[in-house]
Amino acid sequence: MIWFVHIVMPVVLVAFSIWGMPSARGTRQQRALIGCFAFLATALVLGMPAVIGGLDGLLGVTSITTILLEHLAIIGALACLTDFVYALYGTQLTRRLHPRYIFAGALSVALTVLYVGFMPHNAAALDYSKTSGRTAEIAFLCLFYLWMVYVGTQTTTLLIRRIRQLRQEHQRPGGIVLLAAGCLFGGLFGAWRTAYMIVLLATGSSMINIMEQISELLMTVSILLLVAGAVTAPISALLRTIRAVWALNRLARLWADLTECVPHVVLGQPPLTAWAQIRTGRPNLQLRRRAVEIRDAALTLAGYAPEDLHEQATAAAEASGARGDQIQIEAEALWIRAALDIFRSGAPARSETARAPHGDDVTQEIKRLVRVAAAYGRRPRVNLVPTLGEQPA
Amino acid sequence: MAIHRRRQRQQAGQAASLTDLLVRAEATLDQLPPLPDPFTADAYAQAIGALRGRPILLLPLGESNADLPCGQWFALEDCDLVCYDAHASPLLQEQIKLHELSHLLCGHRGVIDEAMLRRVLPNLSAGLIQRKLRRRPVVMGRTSYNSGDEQEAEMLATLIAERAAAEPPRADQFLLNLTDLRTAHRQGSNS
Repeated sequence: MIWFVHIVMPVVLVAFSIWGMPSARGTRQQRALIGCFAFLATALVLGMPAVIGGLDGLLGVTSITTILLEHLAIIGALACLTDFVYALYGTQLTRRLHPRYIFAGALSVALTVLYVGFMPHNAAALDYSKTSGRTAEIAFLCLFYLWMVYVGTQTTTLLIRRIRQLRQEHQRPGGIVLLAAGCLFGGLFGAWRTAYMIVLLATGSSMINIMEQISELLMTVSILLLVAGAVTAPISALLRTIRAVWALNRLARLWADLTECVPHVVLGQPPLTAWAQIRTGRPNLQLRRRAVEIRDAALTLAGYAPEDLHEQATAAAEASGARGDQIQIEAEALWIRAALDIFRSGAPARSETARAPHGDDVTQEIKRLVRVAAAYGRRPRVNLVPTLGEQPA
Repeated sequence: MAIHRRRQRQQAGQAASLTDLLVRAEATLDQLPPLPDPFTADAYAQAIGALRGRPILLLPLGESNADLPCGQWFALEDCDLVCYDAHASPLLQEQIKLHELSHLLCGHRGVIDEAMLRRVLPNLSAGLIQRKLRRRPVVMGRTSYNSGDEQEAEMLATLIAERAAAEPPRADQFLLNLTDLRTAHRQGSNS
């Protein structure tokens, strides 16, 4: 658990903050959210043992990193989080410095004054077992954790209200549910730590270990939920892109063969490599274009194919051992291969176009085409063209 | 033979990249009324017809030939007629309908083609066709994309179909743009 909290999480948050840094030029929502993660990353990095030792040594004040700097970073994160939620909720924001930031600034000053003026600057300040009875330390920590409870409650309530609104508007809240859960656990963490301080005041140090473990668990869950909420949309988009690029490339050979013969069906200059497809963006649109162009080309080829080619292809597919709906898939692949061969042989266009085989469901058409492309890509078990013999003109 | 003619027609075109076409089509789509839900090309045609106060008739063409366009839009005197190839797959039929509707939405204008209309509507008399075409002589056909109008209509049709097939909007869409500086900057300047 310690290595996870002190190594993995800081690394994840720093990487995430760098990844999202360009959005600092974006909307207020984006700026506030990435600001929140940048402050959280700072707080977690400041909690790493090597950083604590190095920074305390550098500043010449024992415990300044753990007690003061770490807490100030979290205050910054919570101020940004609140601002993000307000921006998401749709509250009109002015260009003036918002009271949320003013309040966070005032709290930071109060904590700094408490730390500088009233708390011992030594390692003992870290030891909560010795904090019992020290008013300044308890006041410092209670002030901080009560702020966390307030922010957690406020953000969770607003996010839940927003989620209800979105559902009424038939929008998917997506990662916002996880962000709300993260805020809830943040609030619980603050409440737990406040209770911890009260227990310390009342009873001393009898349950330190278990209290600390539960605190770490709540904090870890809260941060992980916030990160998960922020990456849900990009990861979903990434998965959709991967699926679409995969399908685009499965259709590549079939599309290339068809459009080589029937080039007029191609719109613009489609990106051909996987990297170019990703850079162009809109992979689902590219996939739709590819499917339409395949169907367009097949319809054109149907003008050159004999009427009974489809029946021949179906019979050949059955004879080759295909079963169930695979028969139609194999038949379509055989039909396309034969129609291309006929077209390439220079056969004249027929006066009446034959029906090109195809699926009947628009939504399933791309899945069907991917299967046809796979069948087309396999070495043909049957070559229909020699059996056509005399083609009717 | 028809294919060779199409190839010749097509040689000059196709310079535009998908991205260029997409940017133009998106600007047009953003100004159009919302898509019907659930979406079908027929329902969309009906909605556009109601909005314009002119019915749009969708007509499947039984006759299919390599030298005929697979889709045609005729702006007649009192209605718009969109013809599509009945032999095409459902996916392609939808695309053809949306392509012809896109011509209509973009305000494209073609040339009068009485011969084509006679082939599409063989039962109409020559006099009636003359009258039908007199006031609104607009005909657009879907053959190849060698003209700017054809490219624009085809991309708009693809975009409409893509938008219609898209999942319901995500409220956390803005999170997608955390690393997309161009989009983030655009959104920032709009907000």
